[in-house]
Amino acid sequence: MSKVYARDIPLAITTIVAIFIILDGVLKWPEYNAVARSVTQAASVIASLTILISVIALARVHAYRVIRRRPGWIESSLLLTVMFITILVGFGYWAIGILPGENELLSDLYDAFLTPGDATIFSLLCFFIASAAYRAFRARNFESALLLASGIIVMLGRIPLGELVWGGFPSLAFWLLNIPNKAGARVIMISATLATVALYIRTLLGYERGWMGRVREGE
Amino acid sequence: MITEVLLYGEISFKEGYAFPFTLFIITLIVFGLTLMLIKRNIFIPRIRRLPAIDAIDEAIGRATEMGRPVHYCIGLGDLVSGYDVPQTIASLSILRHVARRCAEYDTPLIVTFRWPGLQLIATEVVRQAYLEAGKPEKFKPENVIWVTSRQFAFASGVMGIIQREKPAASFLLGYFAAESLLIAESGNLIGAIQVAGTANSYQIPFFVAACDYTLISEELMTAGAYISKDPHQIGTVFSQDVLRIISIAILLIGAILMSFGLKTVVDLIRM
Repeated sequence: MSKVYARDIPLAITTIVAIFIILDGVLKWPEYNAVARSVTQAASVIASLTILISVIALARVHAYRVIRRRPGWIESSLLLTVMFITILVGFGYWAIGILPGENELLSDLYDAFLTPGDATIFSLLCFFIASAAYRAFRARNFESALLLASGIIVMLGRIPLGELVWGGFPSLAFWLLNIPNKAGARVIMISATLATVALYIRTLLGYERGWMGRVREGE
Repeated sequence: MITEVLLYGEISFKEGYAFPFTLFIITLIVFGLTLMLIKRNIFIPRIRRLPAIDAIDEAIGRATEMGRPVHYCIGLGDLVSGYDVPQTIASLSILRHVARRCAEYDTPLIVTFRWPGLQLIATEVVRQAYLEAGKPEKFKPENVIWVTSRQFAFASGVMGIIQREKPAASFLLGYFAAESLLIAESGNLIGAIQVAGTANSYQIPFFVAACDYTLISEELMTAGAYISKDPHQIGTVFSQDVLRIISIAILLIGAILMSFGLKTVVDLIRM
């Protein structure tokens, strides 16, 4: 594959669009801003289309597994069945006009399966937090002892029992969260922002090419 | 329409954007100067060790010895807009390195992600890495898995993959939110060596608690430069440090002036 097609053209497009969008971010120029808005909307539309490509790729991978009876083919067939039922309910019924207006069946499927499923998985988090905290909160050295002490103060400051033990816990927890903790979080935020700028410049100059699939290292 | 825009449009800076734009120009100058010095061999930048990146090869080696796969999760990020884009770009760079090592060691690699747009990109990145390692026949496209677009369904899917496939090494690099600990603890339960990294400051403590190595914030974004060992890329990290010093100077001057009731720096920033 020629380097021009695989590397130079995508890089040129990326650089031109990036400069275009940067200028839209800083300049007040109604006509230009309107054109930039259209470009951004077009990008969103293109991004939405990727779901179609992914559905095809997913169907291909799982259909292959089912046809060849590879390990996990039962789960794959279940996935394909559920996926096509949802597509049919969401789009097919509307397309053939059986269910005009709002598709209540799709909303019911969503509320009955997806929402409780999401809540269930999210609720697992409290057990995982407990097990991770158990490992992290061990006073093995000075730093971890400091973490343990801060953790206990913040926990006591956030529960009614803590205030009963000592009235100063809530204000101490508030101070810990809003002064040292926020300072640390801001350091991370500023560093991440500067690193993002550096990464984008590396990308625009063509040094960072991990996102470009078909380019060999060193090209 | 473009001609009309160029001829008749009225141009000015958006309110509050003149200073950021000036900073952007300064940034470009700093980067340009650094790269010029490197090109002329006047300056050779160095980068400090990143133990988390060094641990990647070790973790893949361990997976090879144990005959178990390697899992790589790109996270929730996309390549459309927002805070997650740079993290996804950085993660793809590291994925290429991980995939090449896996190909060299003949270790199966499973890649998972949430944004469907990554299906083609991640597949191509991994395929290219296998090509570079001279083992294109070992590449399995079915191991590059778009799980789902829904956050907790994604977490559930990845947890299931980790529990079933029992990878000896799990890399969680990219943008993660509330599902970070769910995935990291699943890896911990099966005894996988875990290297994680994100710039989401709310999730970093979870990764630190549950994983063996963590790339904190900017370390994730500089990992690509670190792996490449290319002086130009490392030079951009040096430029980043120069900008950090400039930022600290602005913050300090602003804080001192504000202490005396002078809002000069604040007014300048809001220009």
